[in-house]
Amino acid sequence: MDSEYISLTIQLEGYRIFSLIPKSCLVMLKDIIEHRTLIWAFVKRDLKGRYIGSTIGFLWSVIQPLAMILVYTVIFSQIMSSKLPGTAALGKMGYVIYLCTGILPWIAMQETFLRACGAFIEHSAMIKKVSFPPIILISYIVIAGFINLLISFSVFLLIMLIAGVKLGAYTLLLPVSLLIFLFFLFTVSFFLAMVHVFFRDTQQIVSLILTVWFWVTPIVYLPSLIPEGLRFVTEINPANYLVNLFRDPIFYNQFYHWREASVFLLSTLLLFVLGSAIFKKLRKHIPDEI
Amino acid sequence: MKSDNIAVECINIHKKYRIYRNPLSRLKEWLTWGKIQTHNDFWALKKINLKVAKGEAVGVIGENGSGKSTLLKIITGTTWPTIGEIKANGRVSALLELGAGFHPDFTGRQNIYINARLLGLTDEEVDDRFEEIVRFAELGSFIDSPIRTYSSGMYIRLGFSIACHVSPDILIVDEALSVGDDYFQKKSIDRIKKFRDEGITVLFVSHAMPHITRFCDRAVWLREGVIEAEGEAKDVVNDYQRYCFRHTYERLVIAGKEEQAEALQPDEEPVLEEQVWGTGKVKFTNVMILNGKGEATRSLEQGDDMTVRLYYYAFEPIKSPIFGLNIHTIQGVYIYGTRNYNIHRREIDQIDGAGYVEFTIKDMLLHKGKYFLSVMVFDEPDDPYWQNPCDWHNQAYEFLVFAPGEAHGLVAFPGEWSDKKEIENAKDSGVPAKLSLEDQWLFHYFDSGWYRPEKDKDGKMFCWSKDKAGFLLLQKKGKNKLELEVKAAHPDLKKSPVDVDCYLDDKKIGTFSVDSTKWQAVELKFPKAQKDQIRWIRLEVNKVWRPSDVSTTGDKRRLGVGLSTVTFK
Repeated sequence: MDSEYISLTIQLEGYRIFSLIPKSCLVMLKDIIEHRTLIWAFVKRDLKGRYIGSTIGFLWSVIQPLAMILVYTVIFSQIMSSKLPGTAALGKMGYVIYLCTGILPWIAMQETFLRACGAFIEHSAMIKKVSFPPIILISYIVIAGFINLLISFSVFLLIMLIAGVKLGAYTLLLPVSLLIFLFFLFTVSFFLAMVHVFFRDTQQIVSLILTVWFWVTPIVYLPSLIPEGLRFVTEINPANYLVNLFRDPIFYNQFYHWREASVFLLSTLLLFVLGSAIFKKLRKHIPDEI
Repeated sequence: MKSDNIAVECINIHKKYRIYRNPLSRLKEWLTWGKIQTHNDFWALKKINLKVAKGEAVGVIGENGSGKSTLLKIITGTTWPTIGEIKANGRVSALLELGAGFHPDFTGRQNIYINARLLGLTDEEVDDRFEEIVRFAELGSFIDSPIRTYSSGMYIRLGFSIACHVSPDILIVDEALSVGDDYFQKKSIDRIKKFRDEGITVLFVSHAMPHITRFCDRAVWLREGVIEAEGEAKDVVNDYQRYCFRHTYERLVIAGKEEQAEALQPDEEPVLEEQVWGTGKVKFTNVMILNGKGEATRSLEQGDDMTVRLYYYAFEPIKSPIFGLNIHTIQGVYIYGTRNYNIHRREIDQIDGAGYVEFTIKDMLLHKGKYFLSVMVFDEPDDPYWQNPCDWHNQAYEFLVFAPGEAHGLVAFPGEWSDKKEIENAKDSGVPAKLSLEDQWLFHYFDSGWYRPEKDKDGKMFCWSKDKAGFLLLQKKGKNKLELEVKAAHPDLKKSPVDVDCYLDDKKIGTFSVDSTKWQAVELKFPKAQKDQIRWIRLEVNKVWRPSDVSTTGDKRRLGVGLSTVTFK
């Protein structure tokens, strides 16, 4: 098996940039690419499985975000817009855009992380009995979560279109934001899944942290609401960078903040490299621990 | 073995599991960077060196927890050895847990696609084999129903079918086959046999020793993670079973089942007073049982030599002493006895004072179990001296016999069954040319279409047929007339007779009518026989009746015709 991976690295050695990436990353990417049809089959099964047996099936995954966004729209644009300080300046639909660009990725992230924590444990029978790269399980959970995000974003954009909201040109950057977000989701997910195998409290801890973090990060409220003395928290809060990945192009209609975006991307990359190296080491112990 | 001939090679494989007392202790170890060691190491496998040639069927046996499953998992590639290297040459398919990865809410069809992909098939391969997988699983229309609606048998069948169709080079079979009904077990065993015959390497784990011996060329016995024995399947299984039997006792004691263990332990208590009688001219001072190696023991192996050594002290000179011993089963059945007078005759010189004699049973063929030995010595043969032994220790010495396999009856004679053979001379089969219920009990030549023979009012023996009935009869060369002595008793007999069709090998050869309640002889022309032949002649009666329908007898039999004699003429 190992020789195959070595040949892959040699093959890619002509490109200098690839030699900077450790072999463990390449192995992981290769596993994913090799099993892409299987991953896709798992994704389909996962998406279908969620609503199997229900009458309208897959439509639910459209109806759920639709209902949520509609409720936000109605409540915040009609009823509460004047009550929330600072939101009046955003216009009638402004707050809805502000909220959705923050909350939609957050929900997708929370759901994916929590599922990813249990991924190896949930499929322990499979991992123990069938020889296949377990990263497949993370991949499908992340992709399924990502597809749900795509759906809810589409619903959101559609509602904006119908409501006659004019979005800026920078909205075209959304696919880039989504791709970076996908990479982030995957990296953290497999890291969490791996840790959870050896330390079973991970899922609970992650759940707790995400709940607290949600309120620490300006998602529901505006950054201007934070007292001066606590502004620095927002400055260093990486979740803020994540949220701004969507807010900059859609809500503020501007390009990403260079510093924020690059710090976010680089740290994700670093985590990926580190995580894949640890994963390579721990991989052999996973079947024995679940 | 050439290296390109090897399917699986294990090179010095060790497997260690870390056992943590609790999750916190692992965290402690992590946080101190391994400086505080809190885990215990458990070595599931040690020094496993194994080569399996291509096309070989190898059985892996051992007790629970001996490391069988770990070894198979390592070969399958789902877990890794801590030390050592595993080389598997080709695609490995494991029938470890059938249906791992099935999703209950999805249909059989959808699950086949995912599961087969997971096992390493490409999409095109799944497409190609899909029909075959479904056919083998015998799911019928259920293929498009969710798997949660399947019976456990269907579930297993589907899992097995998929695993079989990934066209493995190396097939690993764990206890998977012990589930499912007899039909499935047979079918799956047949399929695995086919794999083996196709030259696919099979690794087979089972607790069913007959499967191992029938199936495998070679067997490996794992004991506490180490290869205890390796070699021809029959020999290894034999050794293993012997070991198991011996250790049953120890395990029962550990499990606190002393009573059961007691039954396996020879009782070496001192001889009791009521077990001993005699004139006292000679007395046994010690009785020893020796195995083939000459070691004193109370546990013997079937097929080994067994020697009984009798230490005696003669208080007065005995000119020609007669020693003897008897063996009883635990139920008190007398199964063996010998004397140096009339059985295994041997003149023993005059004895005086201390000495010993030995009797050796060659290739002792008792079954496994517990036995009692009695020993005796006489100063004169024949009655009345038989009644007056010098010393007799009655069933005073217990011993055990160990043997692999099952035991039936009392004695394990060496023997062998032949394969089935054709009958050369039809006469040897015992089938007569004339069946007369009058003469003898011939019921074993009648098929199940008859009621038990009975006597009619005149004392004539006969039997009633059902609507379809047949019998075996020897047709000698040149005899081609079948004569039957029959009667009927149908209530409608006066209106219409009972018609009987006579068949041979599904071909109708004639019809006769029975119209009387009295015995009548009927004759049928029969196809000629080139040589003596056993014929299965079948009768079909056009109407039957129940005595209970016309009277109050309560006789609910469905009667056709009565038959007393049938013969070829």
